[in-house]
Amino acid sequence: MQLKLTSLLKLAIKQLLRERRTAELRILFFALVIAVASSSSIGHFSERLQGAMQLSAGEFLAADLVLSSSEALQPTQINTQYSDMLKTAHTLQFASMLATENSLQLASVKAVDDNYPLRGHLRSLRRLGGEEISGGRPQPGEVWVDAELLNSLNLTIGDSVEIGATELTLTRILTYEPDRAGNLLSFTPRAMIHHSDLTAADVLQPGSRVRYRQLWSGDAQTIRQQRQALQDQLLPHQRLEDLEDGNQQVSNALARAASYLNLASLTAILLAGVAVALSANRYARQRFDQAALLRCFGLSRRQTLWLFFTQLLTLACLASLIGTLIGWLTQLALFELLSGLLPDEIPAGSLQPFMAGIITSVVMLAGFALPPLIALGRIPPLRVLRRDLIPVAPATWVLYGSVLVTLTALMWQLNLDMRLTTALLIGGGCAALALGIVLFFSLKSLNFWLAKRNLAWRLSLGHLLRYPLNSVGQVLAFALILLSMALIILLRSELLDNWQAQLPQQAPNHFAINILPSQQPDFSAEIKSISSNVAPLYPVTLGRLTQINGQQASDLFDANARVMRTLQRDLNLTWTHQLPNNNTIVQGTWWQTNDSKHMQVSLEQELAKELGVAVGDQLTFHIAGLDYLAQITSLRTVDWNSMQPNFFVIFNPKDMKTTTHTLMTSFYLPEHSEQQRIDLAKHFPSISILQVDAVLRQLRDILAQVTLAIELILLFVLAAGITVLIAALQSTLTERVQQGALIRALGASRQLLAHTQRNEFALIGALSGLLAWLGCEISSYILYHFTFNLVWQPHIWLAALPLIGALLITSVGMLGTRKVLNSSPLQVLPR
Amino acid sequence: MTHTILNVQHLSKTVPSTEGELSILSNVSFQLKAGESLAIIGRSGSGKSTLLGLLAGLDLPSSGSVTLAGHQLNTLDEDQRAAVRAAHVGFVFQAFLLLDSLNALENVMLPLELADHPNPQQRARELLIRVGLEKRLKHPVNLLSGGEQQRVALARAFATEPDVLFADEPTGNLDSQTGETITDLLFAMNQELGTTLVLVTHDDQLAARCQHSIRLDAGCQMEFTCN
Repeated sequence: MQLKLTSLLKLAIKQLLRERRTAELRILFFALVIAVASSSSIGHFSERLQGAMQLSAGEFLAADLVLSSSEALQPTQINTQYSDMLKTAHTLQFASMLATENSLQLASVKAVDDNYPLRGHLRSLRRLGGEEISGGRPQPGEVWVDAELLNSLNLTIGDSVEIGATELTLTRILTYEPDRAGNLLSFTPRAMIHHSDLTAADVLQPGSRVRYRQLWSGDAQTIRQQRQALQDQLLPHQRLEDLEDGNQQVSNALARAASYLNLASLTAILLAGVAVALSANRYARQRFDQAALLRCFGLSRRQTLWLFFTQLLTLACLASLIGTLIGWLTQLALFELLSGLLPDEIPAGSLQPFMAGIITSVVMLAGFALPPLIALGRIPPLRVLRRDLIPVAPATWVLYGSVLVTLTALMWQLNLDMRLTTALLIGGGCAALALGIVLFFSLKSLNFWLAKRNLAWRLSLGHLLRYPLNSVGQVLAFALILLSMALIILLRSELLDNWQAQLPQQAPNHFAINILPSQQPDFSAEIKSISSNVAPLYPVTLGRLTQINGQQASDLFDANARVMRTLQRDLNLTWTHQLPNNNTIVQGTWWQTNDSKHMQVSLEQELAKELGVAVGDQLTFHIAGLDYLAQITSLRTVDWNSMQPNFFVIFNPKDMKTTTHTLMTSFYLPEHSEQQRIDLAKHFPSISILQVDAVLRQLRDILAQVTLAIELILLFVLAAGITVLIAALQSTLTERVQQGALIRALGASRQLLAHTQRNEFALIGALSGLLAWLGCEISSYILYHFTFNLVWQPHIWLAALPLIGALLITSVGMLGTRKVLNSSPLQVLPR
Repeated sequence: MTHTILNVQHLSKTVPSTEGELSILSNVSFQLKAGESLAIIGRSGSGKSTLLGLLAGLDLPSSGSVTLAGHQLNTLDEDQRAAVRAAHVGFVFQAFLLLDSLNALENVMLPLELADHPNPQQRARELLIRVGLEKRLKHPVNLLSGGEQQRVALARAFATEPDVLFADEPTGNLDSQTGETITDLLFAMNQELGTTLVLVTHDDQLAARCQHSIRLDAGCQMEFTCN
């Protein structure tokens, strides 16, 4: 038949409109809308949320990208081809004496320009105890100092302070400086001045120790390009930092959150995929006659296929549009709900999630719906006379191949860890196959048991046993839905618990350093009187690693190697009898007192890896003019998130008795404890107190955002799961209605029919729950181990899954198929 | 002088079975001129529907030939046979085979739209009025009675004014009175449009209304008679 392509297209759309009333088309449409809405809203939401979180996290650097250097930066580094597209600021930091009429104090002076900070804001007070002001920066002629400096120099607002050759006026008390929070080693008190006052101060001489920092902010793509451009011309004394380096805790939290969001997204899409596959299969089966008729009317195989394909493609486009709109509105509503928690300027987000949503629907349709659709092209026209003729099913490899290609495409689109997800999917597939076979034979063996049961059981189980392959498929599909939902709930609570455990409410928020051994008893007593949580006091001395196994350490590595930074600076060294709480020995043993003639040292695992050393190797440290030869007796992991003093290198105390040292600790003070802090500084003027509240506050904010996002996305997955469940049950509705009508026509009561249905659903639900339980434990083990770095333990509550499955499937099933009970037997008999 | 529209020569069909090749149709030959009617009669399983499928080009013979409207079907591939069906053939089935998702009017419009008819809706409406369903145009077909469904099927079959109409037990699913009404309608429309009619039936009365009949028994042509 010479039917023009446009006519075929027109006809396809007309047919689609005419068939809009059919259940299978509605379910297919609905499943596609869910897939697109969940993937685009989760995609859009997580993209914007990541943007928002990066914005908050960028505060730790006061920028998106920072180049720091001990020498002035090269002009080529400041003016790269991308610099014009980015906002920029620069700061200088150096140590200098601050002088008033009566006293002197060494301070860390930071000179900032008019653009600083690019991310976050400075916070300050106009008077001690006054209201905290956000924003602003010192203007020319002004100096801002922190509370410690205010106290030690006995200053009040309006006083004059000398820095070098210039005199500046104290205008504010600096309470928060975004890029200082992340650096726990900035111990000296802070004074902040305007960059233009540097010349007059005349403090920078050749050879002065100055830290130059160039800051950039802008869109992620340009920042990446800028980073790449700078990376190539980085000098040994320079360091590039971005969010990843800014704060390990934040980037860890972000990485886990991103993994979780992507996993949730994949879950929602997979759930919808199951629905698409089921409803597309039903769509195709319902059109066997139509396809045969069309072939009788003269349509070629290709035209027939094209007609159905166009219909589904149109449906997918329509579903994409509506799904995308719903997705966009949903994320808008989510952000409205979160408005109090997130930064004011949330990045708008790109069009990519919308495109991704549309691509998802087309890819899903192609992967999950194409195989049954191909069957329509194979309908022999003779079916109009011989109804028993059904099309040759597509080859198995086509079926599984298309599903595999679809999943790969979806994973690629979601930037998932290919290796892990593939392992999960292949593992899951093999497990499903193995369990499916077991289930198949178990069902078959039930025949024997069935003979002695009552009619309701015989009817319901009979239905399952008559088509064991179909039943196994159905159970596996429901198991996948339950597994996905359980896994997402499981991960949510594990992640949240983990984060909560990391940041207990009274985690230490102050560090005290430079405590002299003679001050220890008094300081300990005072700190215990004001703080509810004090870490142990650790002795600290500075030392440099000079030799490894008798060889000069710096000769063993390339000049540009990362480890050279460790070798070229003084390390904080400590000694203790007891292994610190948040340390775990991974190799060797912790020392017993006086159990060796050699000097003993314990190294942090990552440092040991960088140095290429193991237990038994010998290290030489240069401490206060003396060389100490020590043997490595253990390697440790350290929880750097613990807000406790942590050390790369710990010695056995027996060898360090005579070493000159100071002490350090960390402790918790509630909010608004400025007065206690100032009192402490007054009583122990030589001790430096460093407040790290800001780090904790920011971290908690970010985690609160992530937590909320996770809770909301969980709702999405649950909604998708339940809807897909209904869709899946609906796909067997016609057969159920027919069978129900027949049984009723034969004289069965409505009650018997209800029993039959209930038993069948309960059994399917319980079996699905059982499989989901096993699958969930296996996949959670893999995920904990490889993606989230969490400790895995069996989850007892998962044992409730068979019961939950039975209840859920029975209630959704009974609700979804109530038509079976309510329909008159006459309705399905031929008229 | 009317021309031969259907020429069947030594038509046989065998299918593979567990006990070797099974012959379901053997050595059938006849000719039919345009506008004539033919009944294929025989008991269940005698090969009537198989023969109909071969005549309409829905299936291929194992040997022999079918020439429909000048096209030798056994030399054509499936798509070429589909083109022949589109141009020359209409169908009526025992099970009606209406599309549940469409209403009566849409069912009749479908072949017209496939044939790119300039005004499918008007033509479909005329045909439905012709078969007495003017009040059922927008009814979902699954709510129509069997007789009404077969009328829709008749309207659909005649919609494209085919040269040959193949009817497979058109009254098989209907009571005798309704069956008679449908038969009357079928023959009347056949007459009006000058269509060649080939129908399969086991109803001798219906067969008697055709100009020719061919009786099959276990796949063999027992007789070809002119009524």
